[in-house]
Amino acid sequence: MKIGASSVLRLNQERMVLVITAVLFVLFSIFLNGFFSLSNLLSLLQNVSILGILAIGMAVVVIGRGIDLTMVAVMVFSTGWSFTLFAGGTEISLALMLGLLLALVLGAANGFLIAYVEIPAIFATLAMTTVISGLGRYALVTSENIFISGDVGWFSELGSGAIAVVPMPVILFFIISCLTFVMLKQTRYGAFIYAIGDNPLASRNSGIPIRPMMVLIYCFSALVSFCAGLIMAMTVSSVNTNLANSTMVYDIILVVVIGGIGLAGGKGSIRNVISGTLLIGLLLNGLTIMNIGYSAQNIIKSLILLLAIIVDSMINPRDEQTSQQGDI
Amino acid sequence: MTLSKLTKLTGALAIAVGIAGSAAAERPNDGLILDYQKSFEGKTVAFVPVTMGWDLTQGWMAAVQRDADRLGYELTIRDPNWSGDAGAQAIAQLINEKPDVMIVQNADMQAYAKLIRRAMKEGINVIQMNMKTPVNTDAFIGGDWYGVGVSTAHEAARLCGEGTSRKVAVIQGPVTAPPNQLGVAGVNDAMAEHPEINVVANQAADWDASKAHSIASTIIKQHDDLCAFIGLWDNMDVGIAAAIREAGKKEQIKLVSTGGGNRELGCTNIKDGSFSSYVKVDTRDQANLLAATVQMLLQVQPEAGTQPFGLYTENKILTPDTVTEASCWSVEQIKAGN
Repeated sequence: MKIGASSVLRLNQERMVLVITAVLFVLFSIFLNGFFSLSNLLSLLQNVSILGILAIGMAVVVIGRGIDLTMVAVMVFSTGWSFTLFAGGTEISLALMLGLLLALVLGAANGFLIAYVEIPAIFATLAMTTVISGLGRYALVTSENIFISGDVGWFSELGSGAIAVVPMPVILFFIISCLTFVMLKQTRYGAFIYAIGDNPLASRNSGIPIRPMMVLIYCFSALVSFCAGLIMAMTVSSVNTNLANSTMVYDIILVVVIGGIGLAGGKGSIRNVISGTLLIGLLLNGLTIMNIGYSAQNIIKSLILLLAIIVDSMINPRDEQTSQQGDI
Repeated sequence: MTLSKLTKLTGALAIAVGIAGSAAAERPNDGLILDYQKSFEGKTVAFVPVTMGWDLTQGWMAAVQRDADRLGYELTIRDPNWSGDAGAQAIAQLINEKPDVMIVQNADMQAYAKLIRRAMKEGINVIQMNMKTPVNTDAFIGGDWYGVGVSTAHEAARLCGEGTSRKVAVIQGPVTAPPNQLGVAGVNDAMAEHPEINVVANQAADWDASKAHSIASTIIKQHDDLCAFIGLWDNMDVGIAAAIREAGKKEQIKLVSTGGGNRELGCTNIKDGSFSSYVKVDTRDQANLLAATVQMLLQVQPEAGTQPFGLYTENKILTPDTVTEASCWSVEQIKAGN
């Protein structure tokens, strides 16, 4: 079996994305004025840090063969509630603690519906998104855009601070990536997640507590959503709950999938998320610098991503054993 | 009964009737006040917003609810929360319920046009808010979005005069949203009158502060000598202000914003210099005009659509030098009638 030569050339999804990213990086550096400067590159990273953090949460869920469409709704309504309470006079730490608890409860509810009631993840989280949005608008927040005024203490550093020249959101993205990487690769819970994603029945038969693990997975993604929401709120001093109605959740899935984490579950790692995030960040930054209009930006973004998926599909032909086309 | 007793009894009776009569009689009539008070009894007013989650619509309804409570008419709000379909359904249902006045806030220029026409045919007086369909209803109360764009552009040109780089960047909302399209048309036309100003970027941030922040920080890095940003909604422009602050260029880069004049978003930011100039389309003014228009329509009850009139809100410009305590409002204030 000739493995040697072909495995070097074998391009999986992640490598392809890295190649495209590298090509775009070189092209932008040569042809775009002001792209290849430290401050712009840091700006690029900062602009996609929130998306990257959310993608980490989504990646863990996807590796466990699930999907969490509620992430953006949980993000805006848990932080929205915290800051509505804060505006009403609650002390900031208490308000944030309550928001965090709310996020965890919503994550647990997702996990419960998927693990115990056995509703497929996509339907459960799709429905929960509407429930959370409705509940949020009805009972938790008073207006769509919650402006944060007043002293939030050291929390404001999370959004607008910097260490050396690196903005805080980038550092936090890095820290959360490292922690999640360690959790996935070094702890047994990570091993459980991979096992559940790869073959839930076999995992259950081997004694892995798949149902509590699934609840934990969705709690994790809710926790990550809350953290991302807090960073975003501290960056722009406001919470925009209308994001729950936007297509942001599909951008998150796109980052995860494009980086090479298959939706079938069981494989992938944080490195994939980082590659996907870098590609999207690069695209957004380059297109903004070129002052390309919004509609054209969308078309270019979709074409490049479509290209990545098509090339992947061609390079990794149909695997008869798993009847899976491509690497995704 | 003796004559004197009868006289006294008659006198007492007359006084009693007189007192009772005057107690039952209504307040002195100046010719209009009694009809005025009667004209609101039992009437219903319905409102279909784009969403009640905005300070804009909350402000309007605070004023109308105040009037409803004190004058005695009933106010119903059917909130479709951004959904055009739910809004159309709400309007159709209201046409069946036949309120006396229906207030509709349009999200775009087409969606409700047919329904509004139908409502007027059924005899319901209609007021359009904020954005107008081509149909002329009994009243229109809203801002002149094209004019807002023109004003922001003129302000940016004023702030970027001699001695600056004259570079301006525009950050707009969703490209397909009508208030945004009109605003951008205004900016472009006004900029044609200022050939010395160089518009270096024109990006869409979907009314989202976070996206505006990302775009603004990229543009600031690209154009080191940028003079000003034009933002088309204060809720979104706080993101631009944050990006300017982070880059440490608060003195150098001006920000021209626009909005309804909410105290939290508008005046706070004007006072601390985050907004260098603010084109105010005052929600409180609109709210008072709306309440007054409802009063007029409920009294006059014109045949629906025969005498349309418009009340376009004046675009007022606020700067850190001209802003006062009274410049902005809060929903609580409007609720209290201040």
